[in-house]
Amino acid sequence: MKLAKPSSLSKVEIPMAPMIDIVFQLLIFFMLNLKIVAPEGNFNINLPVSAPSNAPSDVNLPDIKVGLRSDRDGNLVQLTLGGNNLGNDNAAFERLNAEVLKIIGRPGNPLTKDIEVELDADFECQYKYVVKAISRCTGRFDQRTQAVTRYIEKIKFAPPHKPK
Amino acid sequence: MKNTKADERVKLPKDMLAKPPEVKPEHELVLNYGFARDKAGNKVGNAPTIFYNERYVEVAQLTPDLESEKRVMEAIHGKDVIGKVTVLIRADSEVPTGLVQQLIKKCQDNGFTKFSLRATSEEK
Repeated sequence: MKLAKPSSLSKVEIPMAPMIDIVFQLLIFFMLNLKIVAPEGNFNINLPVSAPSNAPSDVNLPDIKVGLRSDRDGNLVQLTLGGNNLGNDNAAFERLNAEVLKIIGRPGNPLTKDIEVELDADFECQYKYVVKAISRCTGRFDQRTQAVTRYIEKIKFAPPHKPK
Repeated sequence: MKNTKADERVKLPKDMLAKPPEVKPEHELVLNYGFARDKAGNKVGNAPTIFYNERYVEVAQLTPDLESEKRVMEAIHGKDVIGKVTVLIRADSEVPTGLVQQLIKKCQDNGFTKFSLRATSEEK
């Protein structure tokens, strides 16, 4: 039997064209299936199981009561802070943000740890308005520095209203 | 890129302060509360529902599911785990707030005490 010498073996060529073809097909497949989901964030809320106590707090800063009145379709009719009407548009939420800052004095004030914001929303009020109100009470986003300044962390809901 | 517990039918409210948490809750229960939608994303019906394990569940009928979640968590992590579980509420931006409060109350009645409201991070 005559064995072929190693030097005489033919070189196995790797076919590059189909390989590139498959790589491109995989790339296109993953690109078409890619779903870019916007990042999500949380707003923590404080909901005591037992009835809230009415005992006065030791701190001088008052608790903040934010009201959201809506029509039957859930559209915001009135945003209130401690009974004062702030309006029902985007500017109303910015006013709320400014008023909260006035109440706490300055961001990071250690006394704000003991302050609670109570949200009193109508049953029908669309959830997006509540989230917006929570956001404007919890802080401010600086677009220039991209930094978040925190105001108040404790948020709670008032007892729910009955449907209209 | 994709949160597997998030339901695409729920159109979360958008807010600039909604940044992803730096520390993820140790134990969490995600509840998706929104409207049934067609393929184009339009609402089908006006009553919101909870999307739970490929089923539509009303808040009033959620107790058995919450109990089973509780049992599974307790079996895996121990008896006192429920106090450490954060219920992440992913509610549609148009859901009436009163119904979200009812959902929270239902969870409280089943022993859950920590709640977070989810929103989409809004870039400007």
